[in-house]
Amino acid sequence: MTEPQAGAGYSGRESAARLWQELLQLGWVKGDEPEVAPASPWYLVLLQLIAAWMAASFLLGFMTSLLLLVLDEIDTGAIIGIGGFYSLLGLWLYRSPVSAAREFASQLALAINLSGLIALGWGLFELLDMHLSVPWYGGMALVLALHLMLISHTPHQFITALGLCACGTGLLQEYGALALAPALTVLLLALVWLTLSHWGLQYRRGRVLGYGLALWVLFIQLPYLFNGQGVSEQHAQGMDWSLLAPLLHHDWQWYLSLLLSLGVILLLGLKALAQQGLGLGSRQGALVLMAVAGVGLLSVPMAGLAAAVCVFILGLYFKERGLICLAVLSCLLFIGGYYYSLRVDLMEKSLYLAGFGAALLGARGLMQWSLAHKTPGGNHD
Amino acid sequence: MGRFISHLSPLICASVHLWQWLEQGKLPVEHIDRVLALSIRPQTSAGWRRGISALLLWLGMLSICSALVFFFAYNWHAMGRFAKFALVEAALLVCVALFVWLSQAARSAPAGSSIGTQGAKVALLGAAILVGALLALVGQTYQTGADPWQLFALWALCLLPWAWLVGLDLLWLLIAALSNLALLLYYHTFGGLFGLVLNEEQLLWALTLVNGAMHLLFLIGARLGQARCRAPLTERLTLCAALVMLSWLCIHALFEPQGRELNILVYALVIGLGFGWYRFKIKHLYPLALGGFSLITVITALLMRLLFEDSEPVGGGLVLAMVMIGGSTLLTQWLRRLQLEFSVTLRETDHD
Repeated sequence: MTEPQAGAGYSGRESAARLWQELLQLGWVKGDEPEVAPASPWYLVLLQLIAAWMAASFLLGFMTSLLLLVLDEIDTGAIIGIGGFYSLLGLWLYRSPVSAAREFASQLALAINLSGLIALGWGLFELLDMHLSVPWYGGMALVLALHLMLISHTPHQFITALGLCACGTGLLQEYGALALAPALTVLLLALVWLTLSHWGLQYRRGRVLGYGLALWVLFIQLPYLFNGQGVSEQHAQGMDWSLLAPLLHHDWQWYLSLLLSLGVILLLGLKALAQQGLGLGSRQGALVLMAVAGVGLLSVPMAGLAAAVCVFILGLYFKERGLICLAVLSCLLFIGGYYYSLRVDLMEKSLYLAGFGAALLGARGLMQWSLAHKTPGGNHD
Repeated sequence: MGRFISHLSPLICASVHLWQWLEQGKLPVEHIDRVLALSIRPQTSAGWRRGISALLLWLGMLSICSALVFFFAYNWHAMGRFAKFALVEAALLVCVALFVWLSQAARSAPAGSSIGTQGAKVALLGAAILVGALLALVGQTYQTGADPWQLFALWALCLLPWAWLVGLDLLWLLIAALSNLALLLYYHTFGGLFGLVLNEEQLLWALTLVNGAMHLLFLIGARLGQARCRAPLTERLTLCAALVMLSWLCIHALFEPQGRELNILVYALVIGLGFGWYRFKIKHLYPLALGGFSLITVITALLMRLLFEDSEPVGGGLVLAMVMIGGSTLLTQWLRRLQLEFSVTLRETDHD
C-alpha cells in the first residue's frame, strides 16, 4: 500500500474504499462497498448539544413546577427522585428499539439525561449537607460511568467522560492527593489512546473518553499556570537559589506529570521511527531525544507546555484533528496565562519566551535544511 | 496550519464508514479488532514533517511576539520614548522583510512546492499585531486625546491593504475582530451616531449590519473568483455573529414588541432569503444549520412568551422542551439529507 504523496491526501471516501478493497482481499467481506451516510459536521453536533442543554433546563423547570403542585415544597428526596426517574427514562429511550424516530429519541434522551444528572447532582449535594465530599464524587462517578457504558450517543458520552474526569479529580482532592491529578490524567490519556485499536466494539466509546481526558489534561494545568500551585513550600516562603530556582519551584507530583507527558512523547516518537525502520541511534532518533529534552526543560518555567505538546503529538500520531486543535488552542492559552504567573518576573518570562521561540524557529530551519540536502527540491514547509 | 489539519480526515472518515458497515451487517463482528488495526493507518513521514514544521513555526513566532509584549510590559516606565519606538518599528521592519523574502522564496520555488508560504503568513501576522502595538504607542506617547475606539478602527484600516494584497484568512479575521471591537467601544463612549443618541438595540443593529456585510463580501468575492476574498473562517464567524445579533433583536421584539416590528420583519426576510440562497444557489450546509437553529430558538422564545405571559402553566416547560427537541431533530434530519445531496452534487461536478 503506497503512502499518499506529500501535499496530497485521501478523502474519507477514498480511504474507506481502500479499506473495503483490503477487507475484500482478506475475504472478510463480500460484494461492493455499501453506501453509507457521511458523518455529521462538528457544528451540527455542537448545535444539537446546545439545544439539548436548553431543553434540559426546560424539563427540569417542568418537573419542579409539577412537584410543587403536588407537594408543599420540594425536598431532597424529591430532587433525587426526579434525577433518578429522568436518568432511567433517558436510558430507556436510548436503548429503545424505535428506529424510525431514533434521532428524536436520542435528542430527547440527551436532554432528559442532562436534566437527570443535574437533579441527581443537586439532590446528592443537599443530602450531604451542601458539601462536595467522597460520597458525592463517588456517587456521581458511578452514575456517569454507568451512563458511559450503557449509552452510545457520542455527545452524551463526551459529557459523561468530562464529568468522570471532574469526579476523579474531586476524589483525589478529598484524599489529599490533588497534586497527583495531572500525572494520573496523563497516564490514563496515554493508556486509552495507545490501546484504542484493541477496544474492539468499544472503540468509539474509548475515543470519546480519550477526547474527554485530553481536554481534562489541558484544563488541569490552569491552576499551575495562574496561581503557581505545585510550588514547594520552602519556595513559597522565599528561599531561592537563583540559577536552580526554576527547577526547584515545583513539587515531585508536578515532575511526575511532566515525566509522564515526556514519556508519552518519546514513546510515540519511537513508534514513529520504528514504522520507518529507524531507531534511537539514527539521526532522527537523536533529534527526537533532543526535542523531548527541550520540551522538558522549557516546561519547567512554562507550566502546561509538555501537556499541550503531548496532546499535539498524540493528535498527529493518530491523525485526530480534534486533539491537534485542542493542543493549539491550549498553547495560546498557556502563553497568555504565563503573563499572569507570579513566580517569575516579566523580564525573565520575556527572555524565556524569546529563547524558546528562537530555538523552535532554529529547529525548524535546521529540519528544512536537513531535508533539502536529503531530497533536493522536495516539499517542505 | 489549516492545510495541514485538512489532511487528517482519512482516519476519522474510515472509522465512520466502519461502524456503519457493522450496523448494516456487512462486516462480521468477530473481525472488528483486526479491521480496526487495518483502518488505523500510521501517520506518514510527510505528515510528521508537515505537523512538526507547522508546530515549530507557529509556536516559535507566537513565543517571540509574546516575548516582545512581555518585554514592553516590564520595561515600560524605564524605557525612553525613542527606545520604545525603535524597538517596535525594528520588529515591524523585520517581520515585513521576512514576509517579502519568504514570499519571494515561495514564488521562485519549484511548482507544487510550498517553501516559504507558511513562514510568510506567520511573518505577516506578526507584522499586523505590531502595527497595533505601534499605534497604541503613538497614542500613549503623544497623548493625542484619541478615544479607544479610534485605535482599533485605525488599526483595522491600516491592515486592509495587506489583507487585500495577500488574502490571508487570519488577517481578515483580525480585521473583523478589530472592527467589531471598535464599534462596541464607539457606542460605549458616545452612545450615538451623527449627533443622534442611540441605545443598545442600535448597537446590535450596527453589529449585525457590519458582520453581515463582511460575510457577504467574502462570500460573493470568493464566488466571483477573487482569491484574496477566499477566507472561509472569517466568512463563517461573521455569519455566526450577524445571525446571533439578529436573533437577539428578534427575541427582544417578541417580548417588547412596541416599535420593534421591523426587527421581526427583517429577521423573517433574512431567514427566508438566506434559506433560498444557501439551499438552492450556493448549497452550503453551515449557514442553513445556523439559520435553522436560530429559527428554532426564536420560535421557542415566542412560545415562551405566549405560554407564560399571563400565567405559569405547569406543562409549559415540557412543551418548550418538546418543541426544542422536536425542532432540532427535524432540522438535523433535513440537514443530513441535504449533506448527502450536496456531496453527490459535488462529486458529479468534480467528474464533469
